Amino acid sequence: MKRRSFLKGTLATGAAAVAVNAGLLVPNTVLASWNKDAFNSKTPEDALSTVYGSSNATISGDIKLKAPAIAENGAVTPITVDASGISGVESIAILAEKNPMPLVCEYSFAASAIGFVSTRIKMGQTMNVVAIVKAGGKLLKAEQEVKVTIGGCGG
Amino acid sequence: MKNTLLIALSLGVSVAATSVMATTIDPEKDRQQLVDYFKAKNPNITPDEYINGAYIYSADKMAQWEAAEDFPPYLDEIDAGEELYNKDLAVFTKCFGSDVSKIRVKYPYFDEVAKQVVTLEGDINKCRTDAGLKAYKWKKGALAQVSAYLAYNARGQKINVKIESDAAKAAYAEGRDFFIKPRGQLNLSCAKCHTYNAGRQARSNTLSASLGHVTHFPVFRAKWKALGTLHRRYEGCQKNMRAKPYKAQSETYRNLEFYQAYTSQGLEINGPGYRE
Amino acid sequence: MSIKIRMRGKSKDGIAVVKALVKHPMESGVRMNKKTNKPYPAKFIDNVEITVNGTKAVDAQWSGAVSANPYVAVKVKAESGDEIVISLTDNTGDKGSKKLKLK
Repeated sequence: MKRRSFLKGTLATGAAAVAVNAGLLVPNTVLASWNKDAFNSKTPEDALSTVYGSSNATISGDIKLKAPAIAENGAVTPITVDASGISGVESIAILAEKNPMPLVCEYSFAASAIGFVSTRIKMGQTMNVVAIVKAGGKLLKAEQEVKVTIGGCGG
Repeated sequence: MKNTLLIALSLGVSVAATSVMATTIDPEKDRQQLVDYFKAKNPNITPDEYINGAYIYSADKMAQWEAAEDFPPYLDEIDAGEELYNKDLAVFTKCFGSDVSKIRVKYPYFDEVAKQVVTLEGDINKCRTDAGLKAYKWKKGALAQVSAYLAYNARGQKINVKIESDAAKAAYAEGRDFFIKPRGQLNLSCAKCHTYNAGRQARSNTLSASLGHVTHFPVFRAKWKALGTLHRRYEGCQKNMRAKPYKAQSETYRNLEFYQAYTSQGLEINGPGYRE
Repeated sequence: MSIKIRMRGKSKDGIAVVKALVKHPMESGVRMNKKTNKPYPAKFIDNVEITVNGTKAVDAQWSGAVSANPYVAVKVKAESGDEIVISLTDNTGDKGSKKLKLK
């Protein structure tokens, strides 16, 4: 696979991009304080009501949710929510339905950002991963079951 | 009886590596038979793809692996290896030369004078102790990081193991014998899982093929959240299969590595690799 | 303590994919220490901000359910040469930030 050799040119020691450590910059605008109630909610409905004022979301085929059918390692499950085809995306939230506290993360987008996020999350057991997209005042959702097994062969 | 690898595999027969037997073994023929065996098993997978382990058997797993490798967790380990290497640069340069991209590909090799298989990890530590430095521990940590740094710099180069004497052939035969022989409480051989049942599931794990097994080491295992050397993996697997493990860098494991590396001849080095 | 961040970013047709890999234990506060029978104390990144040429583009809140040594990729409207800054804080007050000039 030729693509693997691409990595060689982009390690910190040889990067072409100027990556200057900006030190301890504090974010330049006041951040919304961390939504403790939402993150401590024990059900997806409570979490959504706390974040968006409603848990009423309609399933939308315009949200491309990419998640594994069987997670190789539940602690590092790669999830991508692609709502780039939807206009006016204000926010994307990712929930892991059966986690003790289902809300995993929430992203707010200014007009300069596209409705897209890719990340890795912890899933403790087989459950649905839910992507919520707030766009044009509406709540949309996509969900998919991710099977989580306990493997771990080989020391 | 034609002493081919496949016949030995199918009988689960232990091939004792006496010097007589050694001369009747043809490593290149073995390797070709293995390549043909896997081609017949999975006609859609080319030999070159086997460096990607169990991921070639599942699009779902492959997608997860590619997501991990996109910005992999072992970058810090490579940097750490580079730092360690540069810390003792004078010593390492004296042993290995000044071009770090030319080191990994030389291993493992058969030392005709000492009459034994020499591995990269073995020579890293020999280099240190010969110069009066403390040896690194064998299975993880500093040794794995230096090995990762050297593997990373050799990416894309092809495995090139030389067997040019009867003694080298005997070491290869020992490794092959180990690979085929059933052992431990479960009476399993390496071959039973990684040749015969490659691509199938053992509980929730997909079994990787022995072809291309060693190219991605040292491995960053999500399970360990860290790097480990090939011998660490051998030991762990043996313990899981309820067989008595050998020590890292023991003659047994070095011969096994020699055999496995030869069967991956011509395949690309792609270490350090991320795995489950 | 400064949180270590690796960042990559490339712009094509006015849209940049920005990827970051952060070194952080992301301890949720729920995981139990089997020896003491008490949970490991929570230590996770809670706020993340990404700016383009100084203007906020993405504002995120994370929990301990984001994987350890977190990875995130976002897409922003930006051109080669634009400056992306990612800054983050964790619940114990640690901070980190990284600046990148887009390729």
